[in-house]
Amino acid sequence: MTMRSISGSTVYNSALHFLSIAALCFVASPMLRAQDWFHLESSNGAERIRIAVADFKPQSADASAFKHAFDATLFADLNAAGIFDIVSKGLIPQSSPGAPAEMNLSEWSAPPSKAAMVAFGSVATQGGRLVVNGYLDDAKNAQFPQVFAKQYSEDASENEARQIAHRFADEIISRLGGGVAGIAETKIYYVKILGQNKEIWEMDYDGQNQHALTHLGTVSLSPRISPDNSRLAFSSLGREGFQIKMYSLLLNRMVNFTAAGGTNLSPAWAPTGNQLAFSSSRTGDPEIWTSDREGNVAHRVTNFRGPDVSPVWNPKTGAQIAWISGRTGLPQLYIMDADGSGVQRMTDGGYATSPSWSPNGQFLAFAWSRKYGPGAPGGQDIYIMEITTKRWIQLTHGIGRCDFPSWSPDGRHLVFANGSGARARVMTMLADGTQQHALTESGADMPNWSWK
Amino acid sequence: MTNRTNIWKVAVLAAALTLATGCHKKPVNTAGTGIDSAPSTEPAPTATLTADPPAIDLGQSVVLNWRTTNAASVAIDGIGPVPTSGTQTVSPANSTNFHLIAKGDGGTVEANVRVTVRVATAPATGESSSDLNGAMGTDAAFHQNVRDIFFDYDSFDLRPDAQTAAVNAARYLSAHPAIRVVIGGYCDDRGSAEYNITLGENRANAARTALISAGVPASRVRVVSYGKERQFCSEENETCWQENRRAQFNLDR
Amino acid sequence: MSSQAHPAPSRPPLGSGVVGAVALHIAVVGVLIAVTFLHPSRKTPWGDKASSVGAIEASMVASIPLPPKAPPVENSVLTSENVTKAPEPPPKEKTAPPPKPTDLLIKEKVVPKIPPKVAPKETLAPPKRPQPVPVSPKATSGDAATQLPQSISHVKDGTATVTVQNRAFGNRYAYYLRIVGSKVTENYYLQEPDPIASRGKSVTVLFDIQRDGSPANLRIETRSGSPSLDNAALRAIQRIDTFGDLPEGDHITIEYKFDYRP
Repeated sequence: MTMRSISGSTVYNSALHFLSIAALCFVASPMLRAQDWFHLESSNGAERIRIAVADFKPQSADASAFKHAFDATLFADLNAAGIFDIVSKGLIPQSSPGAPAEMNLSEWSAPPSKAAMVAFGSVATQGGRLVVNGYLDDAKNAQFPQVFAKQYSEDASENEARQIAHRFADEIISRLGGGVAGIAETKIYYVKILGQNKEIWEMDYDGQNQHALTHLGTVSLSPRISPDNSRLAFSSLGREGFQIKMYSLLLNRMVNFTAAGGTNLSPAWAPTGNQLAFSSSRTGDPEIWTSDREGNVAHRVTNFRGPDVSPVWNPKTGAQIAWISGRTGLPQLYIMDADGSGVQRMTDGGYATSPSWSPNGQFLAFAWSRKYGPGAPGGQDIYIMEITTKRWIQLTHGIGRCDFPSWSPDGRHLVFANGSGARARVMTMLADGTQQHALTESGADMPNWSWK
Repeated sequence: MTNRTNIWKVAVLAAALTLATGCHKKPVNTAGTGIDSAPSTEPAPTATLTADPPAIDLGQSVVLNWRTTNAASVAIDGIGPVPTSGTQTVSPANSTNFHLIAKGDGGTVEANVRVTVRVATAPATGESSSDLNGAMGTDAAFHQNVRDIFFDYDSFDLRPDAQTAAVNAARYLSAHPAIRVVIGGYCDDRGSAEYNITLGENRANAARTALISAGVPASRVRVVSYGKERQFCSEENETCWQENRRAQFNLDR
Repeated sequence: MSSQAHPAPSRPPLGSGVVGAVALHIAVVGVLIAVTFLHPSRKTPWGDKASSVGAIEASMVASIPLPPKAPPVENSVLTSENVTKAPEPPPKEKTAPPPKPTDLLIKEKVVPKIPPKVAPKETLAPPKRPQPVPVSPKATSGDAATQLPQSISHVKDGTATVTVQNRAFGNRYAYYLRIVGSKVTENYYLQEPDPIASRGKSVTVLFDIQRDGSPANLRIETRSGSPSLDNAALRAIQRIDTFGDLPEGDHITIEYKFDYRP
């Protein structure tokens, strides 16, 4: 492979002006490493598919209320997917074709909309049911324009209108994304701060439909959804301290998870859904343990004095665990094989917490205060590290304290908490740090994105 | 020679400027939590009365804080008429129930708070006094003899002063074999929630280990870590952070 | 400053005094600044162990996978996107290779059109293509016969042509072929072929796409005579996990031809 060395050092050069000579000595070694960072010249880059989204045609008078929620959600979903070049609403034809017979594709493929694909359809209410017909046409294929057609029927409500839009959006993405899975139907679990208490809540990936799952009247933390979306593990403060609890989303109630001595917290699901890793101090020092999904067959994985906490499995392989350890002082990010061998330290300074492993297995997102202490530059921000090279980039800048990043299942987005204490809120961004926006008001913390 | 003084003036000025620009302090974050005023649909008075701290040693003072609405006259027993809302520092000699009465057009309402005064008793070692409060004795006596242990930042190692406190605590516990202890581990509110729970666990365990090595049976001591979930104070300064970095002893009733 | 002193010989004491004062001021300020910068902090930063101060092993990553812009192909991680300081949206220069459901004419046009600077931008060609305008989109017209089940992409150093052997599939699912074409192009790395040895050469590889969208049975149909070019074409396919589920059928066979024309 021919590679071209890039000037990663320019970043350092400008930074160096501000560093003292003493610090320069320390920086020098990473600088040298930065030199052997190669960059393949930009790939040829595929043109993003230009897609137009027609306003859906209301087929009955009372359907128009749902139509607006549907149109807005569909547009937002396709936009958030990041794989389309969406024709802005101002450029599309004024017509609202409700069915293929009403569709004049040449009108859509011509300037100014110049769409390669058109999503359109109709919204109707029939006896308390909301019926949506959705179509996707290939504007470049005159002979066989239709990519797919789908009918959706749910109880008539604004929320269901949004859910149908999510499903239709994901269907479009699955056809056109070249293997990228849509995330419009995914959920985000998080901690809702209610005075002294913290409960586990759920919302749609776009921040809509926020509602409570638990009503335990205590402090519950670290929600982690199982890969099949059936169970939610978290930790909850009781008389014996924090213990791992399990909530069934199928039964809508708590189910058994075997309690053990000491403090047990920060559960993490193996990608198989049959195992959990968590931190337990049942033998005194907090270590990483694994167990089955009922909390039985527990094994200790780490064995080193000092806090070990916040494990997360490699979702691609299930063979490795990343976690946070305070064995050398301030907490640092480590990875190891799931049997406890091959321990490798990933960060070499600062205060690192809350890892999340990317779905493709290549990256760790985590929160990091690189220069920890009063007066230190910067605060706690979200970073991504490439595991094989330990190279990282900083994703958040100057928006205050950030923590608890969690990857979206398509590996293209992150959700995270911004702010401290009761002022914390849940935000999302693309995995390169762009398009940051809040999903919740303040009073929401520790988000966890569902696996699908 | 005036030149020389000028030079020094400039030097001092330059130094001051350099220092000033180099030392931008981050603005202190004082988060004011707004309290919604209750809608006055009914003109019935309301009253709250709190004491901070709720327990003191003899000779220390406590701040009473009260707040009323829709009240025309407010009085606190032992203090007399007071403004409708306010604070007052008191130093009761004995444990006292403070009783507030607020009268208004809509009626009368009362509020109470109890201030516990720990009276120093001669540490009657070896003599497990007859306890009215059960075999474990009073909280006051317990806290008098079993002092909380404080920690350095991101550390769960016992400091020398903590070693002394642990030995004293163990002596008291040995003399009162009925007492069981729960040690709460706490952290300041910096850092991450999950990590801090494990750190608090280690702090509580360090205190427990100290008690055990000083002769207290392991079965009498258990630990609970709260991490940064139950803070004693919430200011962003070292005094408060230190206050929160502790292993706190309580009777395990 | 010295120029001030020259024209005033009549008042040497004052002149030299001023010069001296100015010089001393500057010297003092300079020393202060130097001291400030040379001894920024002798204390170990609070809260950190002295041993680890500054020894941050990890280095700045130049580019991240980059979800937003290009579809996340795992292997594209080290490629694509420009080097950026962290968070700015990478101003990605994309050579947009227009997937064209082509007619024969365009195919011929392709070959001469190879100026290397064609590179980015230039490619927004699609508008050129006149939409065959059957009033009813479903109308079957003679146009269909001219459609080749083919997707052609121009990149900086050549032309990639993706052809599906099943003509019916290619006509019915032209959009899928365009996705295949753009994914292959995206995973072809410009630096891989040796520019001298590969000049003017063409390689053709064959592979199947299975029902789940994954490539299989990758093999070289026609060698180019430049091993680096052959490998570049193979690797472009090998980097791809999936093209997305097939819209229909069990598998299709794709011919991928790359003409190297830098």
